[in-house]
Amino acid sequence: MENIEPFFESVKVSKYYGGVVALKNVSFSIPFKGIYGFYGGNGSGKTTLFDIACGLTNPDEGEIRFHGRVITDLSPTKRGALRLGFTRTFQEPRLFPGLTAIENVLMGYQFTSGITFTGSLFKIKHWKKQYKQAYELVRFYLSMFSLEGIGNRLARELSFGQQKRLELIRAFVSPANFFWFDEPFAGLDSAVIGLTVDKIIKCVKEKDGILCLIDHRREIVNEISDNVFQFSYGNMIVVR
Amino acid sequence: MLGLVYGLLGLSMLLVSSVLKLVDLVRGDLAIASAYLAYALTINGNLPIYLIFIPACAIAGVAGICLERFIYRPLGGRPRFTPLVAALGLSLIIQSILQLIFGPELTTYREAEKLRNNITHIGTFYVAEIDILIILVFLLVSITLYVILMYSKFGRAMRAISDDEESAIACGVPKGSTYGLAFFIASVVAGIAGICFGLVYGLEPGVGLLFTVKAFIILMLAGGHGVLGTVLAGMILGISESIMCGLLPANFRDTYIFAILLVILLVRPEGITGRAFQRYK
Amino acid sequence: MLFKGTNRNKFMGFWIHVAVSCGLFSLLALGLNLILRSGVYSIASAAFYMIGAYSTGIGTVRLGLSPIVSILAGTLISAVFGFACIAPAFRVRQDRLLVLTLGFAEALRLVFVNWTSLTNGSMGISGIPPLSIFRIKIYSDSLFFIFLIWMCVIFMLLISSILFHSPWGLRLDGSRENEIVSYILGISPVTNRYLAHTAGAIVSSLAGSLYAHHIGFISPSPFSFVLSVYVLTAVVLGGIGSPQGAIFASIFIGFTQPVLQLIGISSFYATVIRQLIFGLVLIGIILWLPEGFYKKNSGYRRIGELSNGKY
Repeated sequence: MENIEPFFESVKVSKYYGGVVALKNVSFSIPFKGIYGFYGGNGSGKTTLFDIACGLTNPDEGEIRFHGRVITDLSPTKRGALRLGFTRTFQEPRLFPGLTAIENVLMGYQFTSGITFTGSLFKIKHWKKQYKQAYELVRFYLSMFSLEGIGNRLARELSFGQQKRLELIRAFVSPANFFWFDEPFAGLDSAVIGLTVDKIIKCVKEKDGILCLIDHRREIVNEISDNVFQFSYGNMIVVR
Repeated sequence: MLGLVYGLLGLSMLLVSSVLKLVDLVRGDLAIASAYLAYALTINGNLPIYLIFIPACAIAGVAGICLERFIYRPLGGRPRFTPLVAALGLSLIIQSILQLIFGPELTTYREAEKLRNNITHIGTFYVAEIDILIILVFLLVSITLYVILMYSKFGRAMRAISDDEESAIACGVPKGSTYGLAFFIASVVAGIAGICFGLVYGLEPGVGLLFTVKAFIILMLAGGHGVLGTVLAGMILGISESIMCGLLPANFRDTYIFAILLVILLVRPEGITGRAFQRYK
Repeated sequence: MLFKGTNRNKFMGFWIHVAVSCGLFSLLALGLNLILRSGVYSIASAAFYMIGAYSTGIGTVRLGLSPIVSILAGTLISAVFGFACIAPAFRVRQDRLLVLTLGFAEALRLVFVNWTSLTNGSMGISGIPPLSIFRIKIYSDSLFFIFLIWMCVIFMLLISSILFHSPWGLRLDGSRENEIVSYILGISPVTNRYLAHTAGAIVSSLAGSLYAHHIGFISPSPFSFVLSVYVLTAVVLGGIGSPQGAIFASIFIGFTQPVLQLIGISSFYATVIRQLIFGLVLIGIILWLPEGFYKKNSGYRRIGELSNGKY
């Protein structure tokens, strides 16, 4: 029997920060795979919604459902790449500043052995082999997003655009298929945006996943997304 | 009355940590070094310790400014670890130099004997002249510090930077000279604390770091957000230490403060004035 | 000379002592290396060193236990303390933890100084018997003892290297660099730090027990915070991420006092001058060469080695 519940549902979600209304009664659902765009002015609540969706913060009212199951209280780890398949990028790229670019991306890879203290000491052959596979994948994505050559540079030394792309790759390298990208095209000029957009869509389609993305430019959101949600002062309207 | 002496050093550390957001591990050694300097100045002449306070602490203040400019400022951009490690290195250096010059044994001031033995009775309490001196000094320093911070232009500048550095700079508060001034005042206070310590206990080259740690514990108890809290914390600690020394074996004296620390960590790690620690989810 | 002592030969005795000191110091440095690598600013090495030494001391002299049992007891106690030390780590900021661990080490030392019924205070415990494994005595000024210590060092080095290159090590670095993101990626910084700190404490304790067997006499005075700072100096000098660097730096540190004594400075002054030198070294490294000497290896996985790539 196929599960006919929508992949994701937000039911009357509200969030207040002191006296400020970040989100008010936001309800929507994501029934099919595809690309969903969220846009609106600064402070309209889009990022807060993403935070709630991924478990980084709790709504004051309302609930979140995944395939019908209420997940409002689930920690971000339990929603993450290994469990429900959620992954997220941020407006200000959150990387590991002291690690190299390659290491940053590797952090997203799902190693099956060598991740515990004892495992790393006893299963050396296994994880060495996994490293080889992981590197192949990392290199593949690095070149796809035009980031060859910076592999060994420290993440804090990269430019803003490079950091944002690195964060994207980290998401793709993981087994996640529910992507929540917050302003992935910020800081990119229009020439580069087209290429990046195509690549992102291709990766998402290859993983048979759902992409929810935020951008503040209406043209871009309209052009890419199958469905668009517009935000204004914490309220949301479904545009398409 | 050692608790109040630690409180003095705590005030010194408070100033540094509020303005520079930095825990200065060298405070205690700076204090002891100034105390040794005062000792060196009094040993030959007949000048009483009270007059020597002033030049010794002034030199301490200048040393503090140098510390900030040449050691802490170049390390500003690096992760938090580096200034602490540098302070530890400096601590080693200062201690070894002091040991080379003055020897590892306990050194006492000439006046200390008199001060400690001149005891008067108030009711059932024994009060030595030195206790009165310490209390007076502590109150004087606290009030002066409070007045400076609240009512002077420099005090406002320091408070502004301690609150929100970027906005303060945007409003024209001079960062460099404010840092320097904060360090100067803090180091003068540290010098006073050191001399008081020397009067109460005596001077040893190795005691600097323990002194710093105890002052830091006061800072933790106080929460690090205000002079009043720190003053209160100093007094609480002084009283607690005396009580514990009275009830429990006195030779464990130095460890009681750590027991108090444990209690603080378990019950209220953010201290008297601190805001509750917010863990990310 | 292999297993037995060389009591008559002062020259050999001196250099054996140097070799043993370097080895013990390397163990301490490797332990601290692991701890710092996990992002915990805990430099209480001297505390665990002291626990190990006193476990051996009290165990063998007062309680009559065999050396192995005493060593194990020491590591157990240190593991418990090491575990407990980290608990407040999540309620306070990292830079405060540094001061607190230093305070803890000093407090423990003061307790040992004053708790004379247990530890005999400043007079210390003497007459610690030589190490014996399965009834075979290994005299502490024999070459085998040196061999044993350095085998431990190399073993620790191997383990450190494997750990750091493994996915676990990658996660350790991640949880050090950015806690929030690693939490999101499913990594628990908390567990890793507990593990790293406990492991470091155990190694330090082992070193302490061996120290007790070597000297035959222990008192609280060598375990002051200055020792912790020396271990920190070794790790910083060698590069925080690099276990090999820590060993080389430890050897440098272990040789300093003997060299000073050889050029004629008396033992008392040598200690003070050594302190001065290390203080200068520490400040110098922090100011000018913060990555330590092993820059290439300093913490980052050597990508080329595993991937055959040219990145």
